[in-house]
Amino acid sequence: MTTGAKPKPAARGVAACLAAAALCAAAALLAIRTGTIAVAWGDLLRGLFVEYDPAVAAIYDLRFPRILVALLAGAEISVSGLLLQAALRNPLADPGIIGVSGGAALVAAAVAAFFPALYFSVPLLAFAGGMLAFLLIYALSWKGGLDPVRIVLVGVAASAAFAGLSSAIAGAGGGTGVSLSVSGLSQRTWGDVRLLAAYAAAGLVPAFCLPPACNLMALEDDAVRGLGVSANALRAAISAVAVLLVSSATAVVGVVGFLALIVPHAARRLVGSDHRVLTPFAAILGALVLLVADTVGRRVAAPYEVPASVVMSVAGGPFFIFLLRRGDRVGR
Amino acid sequence: MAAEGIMDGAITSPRVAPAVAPAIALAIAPAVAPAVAPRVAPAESQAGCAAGASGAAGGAAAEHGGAADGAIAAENLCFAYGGGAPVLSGVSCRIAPGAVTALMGANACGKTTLMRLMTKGLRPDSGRVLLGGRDIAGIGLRDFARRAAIVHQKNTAPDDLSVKRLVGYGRIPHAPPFSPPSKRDGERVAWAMSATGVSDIADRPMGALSGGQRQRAFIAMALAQETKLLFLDEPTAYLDVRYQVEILRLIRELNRSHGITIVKVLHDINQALAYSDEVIGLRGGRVLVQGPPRGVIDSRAIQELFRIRLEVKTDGRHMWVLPV
Repeated sequence: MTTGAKPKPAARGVAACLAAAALCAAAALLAIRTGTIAVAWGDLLRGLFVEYDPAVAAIYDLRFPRILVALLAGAEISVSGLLLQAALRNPLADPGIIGVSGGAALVAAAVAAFFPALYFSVPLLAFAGGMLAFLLIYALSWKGGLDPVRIVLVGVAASAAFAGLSSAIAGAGGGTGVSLSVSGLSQRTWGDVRLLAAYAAAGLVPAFCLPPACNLMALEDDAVRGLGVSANALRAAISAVAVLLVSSATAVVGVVGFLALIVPHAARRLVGSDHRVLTPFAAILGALVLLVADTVGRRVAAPYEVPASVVMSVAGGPFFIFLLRRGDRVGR
Repeated sequence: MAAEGIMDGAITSPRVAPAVAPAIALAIAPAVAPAVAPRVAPAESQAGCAAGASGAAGGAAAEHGGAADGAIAAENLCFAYGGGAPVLSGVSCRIAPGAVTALMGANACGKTTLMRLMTKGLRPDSGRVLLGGRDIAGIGLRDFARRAAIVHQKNTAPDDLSVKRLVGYGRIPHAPPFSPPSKRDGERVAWAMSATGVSDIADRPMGALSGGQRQRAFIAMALAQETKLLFLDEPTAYLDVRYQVEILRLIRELNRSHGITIVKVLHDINQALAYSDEVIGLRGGRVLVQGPPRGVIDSRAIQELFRIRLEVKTDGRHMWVLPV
């Protein structure tokens, strides 16, 4: 079972990333055509680049931002999960499970309810919330070391508390008719895209510089220290980037379960555990998965929409069990 | 070997020629052993261990001068985990440069703790560890990693990581962060792999190795750090007997051929006796005996160290304990 895993040459990693990117582009094209407004390719191109067409304008204002937000958030959330799994050396370290997303969502909800004027700072404040949640959970789980089971247990308890508080705020804020804890990609605007793109760049650029650190974290803390590197410093740096990524995504699209857990595991199966390949691949795969989930959600029960997070949970749960049943030792 | 004389003066001259050291030990043993009591009363051991025992440590240590750069010594170390009962209460000892030293003792006697204190893995409550005359508390982690390498008991690596890349991690203390490997890095990695006999499996993934091969790969990573001092915590744990002996022979070979000073924690009394120039026996957080095995180990010493009466046999060349 382990002997089959040959070290992967870099060329294979690049090929895998290109293939995933091509799939991503194809999915985006399909998503553009999916929906209640039907427009032929020719009309679409003409409407975009040549002359005004109200149907195309609606697509440009509604579907394009939605697709871009899905791609950005999917990449952010997946890479965040990958980084947390590496930093905590824990295959279950999903920011949703361990409560980071919950903390970020709580702060985002509170800000949106009580200080709506701070709209553009919401991701930053959500980052503060996510970071606080992370430190809290980290501190509560620390007992001479970081037990993987303990951090998951503490995280589950903390995220339940955060989710409860978020609902309470949503109730108290009331009257707006928009649920603040909504997790979904509907009604996204170009403003959301610009906002998310800025934060995604701030998070993904450092994330793409972290692979050597993530690779090193696969050794034991003692071994890392023996090489003259502080494992705790690495862990702090990697975690901070992970929390920034997931917090900004959560601030815009809400909590999306499973994505951060499944995509890194699936990516690891496909391209191996070298983060130099794994990080970009997980980003592209995450973007693809969230976009597909959202597009399926728009399509499957049209004209009603099934939120992407629901599609993720429904399809992701069984897929994750399938991964576990394959009996591999991913993340170990 | 080219391995010598590389580092910034952190080098003692190479150890005494292989054949000589055991001879010294043999020569001293009959004369000294009965005279120098192996058992030192705890109170005396604090002061006595550094001075008294290094006398017995034989010519090798004395020749190189006590404060030789690269020599490591503990001074009156005290340590307790998180305010619990003390694990070490006043441990002083000096590691003979150029020798193979085994830390031995019963479970929970503090041998692994002592090793962790000597390698910056833990901070002592009081006392200090001197490396080349400098307190290691004042030596940065990275700097320390260029002077001493450690192979821990528990090691993990991704299954699909190649042996060569794992060994390459050993160059991290020498390289500017995240820079591509230099020519020298490549040479040292190749040397470390050949010294540990893993060159042939350089491209194999770690997940495909046997227990013995894995352990040798981790030792190679430590060797790539290019240090004169190598610590090993239970290097034979989890291995079956063939690999145990293989690893112990490898460790001795690294010492003999490349002049690397070795400190290892060993559980097995006989392995400690057979593959070490020096033993340091701990009990209850104190140094009970220190010196060449033949000088300090007899059945009374074993009884005091392990609290069990066992026969100690010896013939012309070997010494062993019957653990039954």
